Amino acid sequence: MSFIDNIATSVLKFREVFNLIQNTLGVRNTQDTMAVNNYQATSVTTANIIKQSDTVSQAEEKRTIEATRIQVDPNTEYKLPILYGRASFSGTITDVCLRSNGYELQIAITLAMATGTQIDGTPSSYEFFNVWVDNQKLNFQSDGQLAASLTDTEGNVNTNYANKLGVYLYCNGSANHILPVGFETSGTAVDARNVFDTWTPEHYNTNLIFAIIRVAWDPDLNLDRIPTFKFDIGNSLTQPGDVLYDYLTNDVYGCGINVNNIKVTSV
Amino acid sequence: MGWFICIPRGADLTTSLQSLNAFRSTLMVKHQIDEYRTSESAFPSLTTLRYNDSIYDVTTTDGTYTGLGPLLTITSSKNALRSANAQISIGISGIPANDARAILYSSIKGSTIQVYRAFFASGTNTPISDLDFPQATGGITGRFAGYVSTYTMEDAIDPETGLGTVTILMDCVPLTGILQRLTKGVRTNPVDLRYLTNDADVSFDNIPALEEAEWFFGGTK
Repeated sequence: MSFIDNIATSVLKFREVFNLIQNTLGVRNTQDTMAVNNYQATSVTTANIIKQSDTVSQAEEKRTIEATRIQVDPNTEYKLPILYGRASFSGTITDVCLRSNGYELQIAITLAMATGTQIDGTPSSYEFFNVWVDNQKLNFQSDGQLAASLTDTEGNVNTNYANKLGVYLYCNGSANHILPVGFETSGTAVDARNVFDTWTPEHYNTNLIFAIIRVAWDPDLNLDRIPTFKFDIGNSLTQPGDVLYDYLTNDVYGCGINVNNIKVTSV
Repeated sequence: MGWFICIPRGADLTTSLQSLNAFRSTLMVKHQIDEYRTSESAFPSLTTLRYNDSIYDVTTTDGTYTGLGPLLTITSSKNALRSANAQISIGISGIPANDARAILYSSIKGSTIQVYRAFFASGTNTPISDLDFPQATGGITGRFAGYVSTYTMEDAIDPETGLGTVTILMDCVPLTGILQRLTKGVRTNPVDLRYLTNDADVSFDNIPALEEAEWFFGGTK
């Protein structure tokens, strides 16, 4: 065997080793390439999902799944009561709308009819003492409109409801915002037609006592439905003589007796 | 020796129905129509129609009640101790077709009806003025007071004369029936609030539509 042959043999062995190594590398490279390709494919798929989620339609679809369907049972035969003195009561829903892409629910609750005057001609005036949301007392912020917290029956204060609820009470028309007791000076009065999203200037709510409720959607706080509300309201007509006089003379909810036929100076 | 009849001071002689050999009773209707028109273009006026079911006209201090005889029919009424919603029907036949316009253009529905019964001595046409009968003032006693709730009209043609006549049948409800229907206050519907505000206030307009509506709170559908 010549030197050249030995070299050739060495080269041959080297080639075999090289080929072996090359084959091994080839397989590994192929596997690596396939893995990379698969990874890239997976990444592309993931990227597509993220991309699709960024579209408006995908986002709307996602919200639709989360959204709660709201329906109400209006009563067109509900006879509005009259409030004399002070009472806590609920009313009936008379309008509903959504705003902020469906994340804010607005409800109009009509509570009662406004009363007339006292015997001496003084008009009725109202005070808004409290409002309970699902039997929890609502504590207002300084503006007298939005919630700062809710207090349950055991006195626990939950501030998670801050800015999640808004309550606006009106007496004798849309322009007469009654701020809660204690917030008359710090609060800001606002016309109901500027609060309820779909109302027009012709929504006068003549002679009505009503409230507008704003609810921000938050399922964690159980605010994905219409809560129950109870209002604590006081009317300045408290004296029996004033109440009887108003009920006798009012021609809408009372007897409609002419004031000239009622002797008010003595019994 | 003569006989003297002593009359206690302050007492009046009255005529008892038992003292009469014969008497006649007549039903008299006082029909007050707030908006009476003789034609479509006529200006409406407050008109009181008076008629009775005898063939004679009857004159009282209130006015003359025209005798319609058998053309006027009045169903019987019912007396009850408690307030009862007893209705009566009044039918007037033989109305000339030309006068039917007055019925069509007048506000018959809702007009006031008062029915009286008058008693007459035989051979007279004036109610017995001193009738000894409970609640009979001037020989006339009240029988029914109410309103015309609905009315119907029927056409007919007289085969002999060829002239058309109209019959009107009025269903009348008593005042207590009106009071039972009375609803005071405002209901939460657009009709009530618009009526109260002369159509100015639309605050309740959306209430009927709420029943079929649904909202997706937390998103839009």
